Amino acid sequence: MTEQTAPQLNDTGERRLPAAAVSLMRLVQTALAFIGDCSLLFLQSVRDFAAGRVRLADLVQQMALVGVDSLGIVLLITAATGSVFAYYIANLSLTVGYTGFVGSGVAYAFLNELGPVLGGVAFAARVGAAIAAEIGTMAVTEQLDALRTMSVSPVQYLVAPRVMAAIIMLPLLILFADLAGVTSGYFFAGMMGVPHSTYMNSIYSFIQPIDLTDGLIKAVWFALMVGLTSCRQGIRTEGGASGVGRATTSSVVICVVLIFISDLFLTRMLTGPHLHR
Amino acid sequence: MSAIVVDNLVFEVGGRRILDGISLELETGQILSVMGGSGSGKTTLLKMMIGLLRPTSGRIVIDGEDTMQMSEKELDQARLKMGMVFQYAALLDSLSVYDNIVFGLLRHKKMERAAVDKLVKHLLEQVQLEEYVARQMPAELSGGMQKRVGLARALAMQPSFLFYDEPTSGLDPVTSLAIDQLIMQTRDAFQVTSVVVSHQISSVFRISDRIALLHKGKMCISGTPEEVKASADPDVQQFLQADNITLTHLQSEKN
Ligand SMILES: Nc1ncnc2c1ncn2[C@@H]1O[C@H](COP(=O)(O)OP(=O)(O)OP(=O)(O)O)[C@@H](O)[C@H]1O
Ligand SMILES: [Mg+2]
Repeated sequence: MTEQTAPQLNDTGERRLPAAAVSLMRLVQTALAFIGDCSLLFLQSVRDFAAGRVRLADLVQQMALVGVDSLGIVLLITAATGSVFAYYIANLSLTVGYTGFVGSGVAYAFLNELGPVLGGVAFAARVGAAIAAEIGTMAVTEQLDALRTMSVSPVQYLVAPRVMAAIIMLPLLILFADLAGVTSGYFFAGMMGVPHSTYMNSIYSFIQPIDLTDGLIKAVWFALMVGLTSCRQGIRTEGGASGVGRATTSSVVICVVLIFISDLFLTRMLTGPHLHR
Repeated sequence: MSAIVVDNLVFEVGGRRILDGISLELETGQILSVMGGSGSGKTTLLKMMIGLLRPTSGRIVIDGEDTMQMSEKELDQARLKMGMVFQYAALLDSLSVYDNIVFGLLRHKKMERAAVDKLVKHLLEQVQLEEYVARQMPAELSGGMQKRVGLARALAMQPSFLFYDEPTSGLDPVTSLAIDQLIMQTRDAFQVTSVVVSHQISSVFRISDRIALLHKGKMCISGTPEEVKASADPDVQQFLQADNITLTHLQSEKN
């Protein structure tokens, strides 16, 4: 007889829940703890910034690290995707015999979606993982405790500068990402036989500043999530080297999931007011 | 007034009782040594005194203030007058030794570069390290050197309370002796109240004003060195004899 068909009583007399329900409850619990921690980190960071407690030197150092860390990988990914994307669109357009949408197709997709999302994922993998691993190592080697004993708040010294650096640098990176995607698309479409002037004209006639700003708003949101998630996973690290490994992996996984899910909602929220222009 | 009062302290984690009814009292400028087997809860007790861990129940009163009642912010403020030397040094590994030593200090007040240089030089000398070490990264140092940098870092802030977690374990006898003397000097010069976790019985009896012995989270005894020596408690005697026993064993094996 299985547990599902006949709930049994355990030693303490509680009714045993089916395994699925238990793991669902655990998941909800974990998610709530995660949201709670991240909100708290966010509020504390904001407060530290507002009170002028965050050192400019810490922030600048993080901005440099974050930018240098991820520029290469972001450019590589978006340039490659831009080429392939342009290749397919050009191919389709040439089949139909109308190439007037190639440039705007690539640019529209990149500014609104591919730049922020690909950039955000690359950022999570590169910067988010590095943050989680660094802070996680500090947690398991008692460096966070050491900070506390010196009356230095880990949020003020570690979290606030990292989250802010992410928020400043990711939109900048995404500007480069957009540029890399659209430019590589320009060359690939050209190689396929779409005239450069057609590509550019298409962009001029269909693309609006709001496409860029919508993408940058997404970038800010993704940066906030990557920054908070990776710091939180780092701070909560327990259990030595393997704990650091788990923190790093989970940080990347959570960031990627959050990026794609929130992208759905963000897209609807941002384009809702100005669809069918 | 007692500088540190620990009253019926209990700490539980995951249903396990790590500390069970610890009570202590320490006057200003005294050194308390905490001894006890590995896993008996010494580090946990220190971390609780400095407010890194919150007790399950009981009271810790530092300088007349109950740290249990404090908010995180008030604790931060109170910790400005406390320092801790961690069992495994816990240096910030992204910073050089120099920056590690003055990190806490420079976070809380502005200082001239020349004064900072002088201070670092002086502190390194005190913990028996050479000057060039200042430019090295923690990862380039041996465990014993890291520990002494941790000690220098704690001293830099000139706290009135110092918690040392095995400051001399892993050090050679000569350096250990020097560190013992440093602990006493620090107490004498600044009336620092110190709690030292240590396994070295000879050094414990040399430096301590009071001694406490933990056994599986409970306190077997606490008192002056004389009281501890005179105790009839078998656990206490066994602990105190351990040194001699191993020595006699070794000698008899040799013969
Ligand atoms: N984070 C933790 N979670 C669960 N148990 C812990 C934790 N930290 C310590 N303990 C337990 O608490 C007990 C006391 O640990 P503590 O580190 O205080 O011992 P100690 O006396 O300092 O030992 P040592 O001399 O080896 O440093 C140990 O049994 C340990 O298993
Ligand atoms: Mg210990």
